[in-house]
Amino acid sequence: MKTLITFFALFFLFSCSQPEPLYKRQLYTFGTLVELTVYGGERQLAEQAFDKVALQLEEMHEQWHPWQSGELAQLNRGIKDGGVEVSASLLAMLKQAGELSASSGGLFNPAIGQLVRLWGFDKEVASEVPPPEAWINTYIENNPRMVDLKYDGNKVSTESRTVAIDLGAFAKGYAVDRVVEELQGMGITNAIVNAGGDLRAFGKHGERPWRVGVRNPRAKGVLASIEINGNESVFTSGDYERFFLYKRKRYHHILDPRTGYPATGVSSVTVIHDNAATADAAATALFVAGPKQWPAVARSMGVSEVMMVDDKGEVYMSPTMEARVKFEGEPPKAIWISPAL
Amino acid sequence: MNRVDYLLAAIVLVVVASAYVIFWGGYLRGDYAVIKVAGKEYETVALSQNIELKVEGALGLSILQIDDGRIRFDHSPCQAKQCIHSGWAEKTGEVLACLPNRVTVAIEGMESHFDSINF
Repeated sequence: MKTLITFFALFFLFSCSQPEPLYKRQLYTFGTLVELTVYGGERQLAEQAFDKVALQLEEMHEQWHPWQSGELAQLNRGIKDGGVEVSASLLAMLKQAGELSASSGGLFNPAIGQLVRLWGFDKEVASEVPPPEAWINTYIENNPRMVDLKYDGNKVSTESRTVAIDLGAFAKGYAVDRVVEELQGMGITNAIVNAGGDLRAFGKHGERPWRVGVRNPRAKGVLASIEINGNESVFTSGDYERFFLYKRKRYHHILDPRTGYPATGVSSVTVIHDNAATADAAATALFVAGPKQWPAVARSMGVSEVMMVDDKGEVYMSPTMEARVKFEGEPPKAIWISPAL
Repeated sequence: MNRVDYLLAAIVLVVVASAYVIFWGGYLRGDYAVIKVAGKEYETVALSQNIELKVEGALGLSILQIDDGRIRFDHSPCQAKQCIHSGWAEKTGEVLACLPNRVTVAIEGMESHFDSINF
């Protein structure tokens, strides 16, 4: 009987312990919806952090837009005419983007800003018609690359007539990394920063790890769930994010720098990596690489956790990703596991 | 401890374990949708009813349809109609959004199954 009494006593004791509070803030910034989630700690600290991050994201978005009035837009305007002095932060960003572009074999290529503009994917509302084939071909022949950028101290220039920088496949990840640094610097220990579906999480949700649902690129709802270990980013590039339909064909925003057209054969690529900027660039590069080439590109970019859904709904995964992914609902019709990366 | 105690303890364990599963585990379908306009809470609606809901956003009226425990954007004043393309949401943690009209719909339940959604 004593055991039973002890059991009940313990049961009620644990049932009464209050979970720590969860703080959330939604922000419309960076051209998307940003959701900040903090577990535990004082409300005041979380609110202060949210206010600070809101300003930080606004500032970054303004500075990093390729064609508006910020620093990157100024660089794009003056890059061919003797070059432009840039801030230390933009310089660091360009160099990291250049390294990732090189390790991706040019499949992640932020130098194709003019091509992105030609397609209209730099605007909030995409075009309705693809650009003329001749324009695209001329552009591709010029082959703009990140290695065409010349650095002289803080001065960035190029001799290429076609190079223009669009950090679209990278800036969000880079920004999420900066926001996480800010939150951690303020003493926050458990949080998720989700910028338009791409996220980095650190710490835990109390006793359990953070749980992330990966959306199904074709059917509605969640395809799989992933538990976050400590401090990781989960980034997905999908053909459903920005696209337009022309003569019944889907033209999405992930352009293949080799052809000038949207990459084909893939619906979505999800990458887990501790660095959000790397995860962001890799998700784009592997999408362009396609179902055959992606393992080689992932290896070269130092990315080991990858899940790809192709245009037939078949799933490709690295072994380390497979170990972590739990499919929700109906499992995919085929799952292909790559050799270890 | 005699046999009755063991039996009682076993029954209590089963009841507690199944209560845990029922209330905390596997609770995929959401119970209600929290609708926000420009980040401010607009309305919270139960997903158990079949109704149409008009929400006044930054550009105009978004019409939300709730049917069979699910919710979707049915009409929207925005240009790209991404919100309508997103289709139905029904699981806790899922979020539908019309960025131009500043309307978001977040599915919540007894306890969220997911802390965040990646897409």
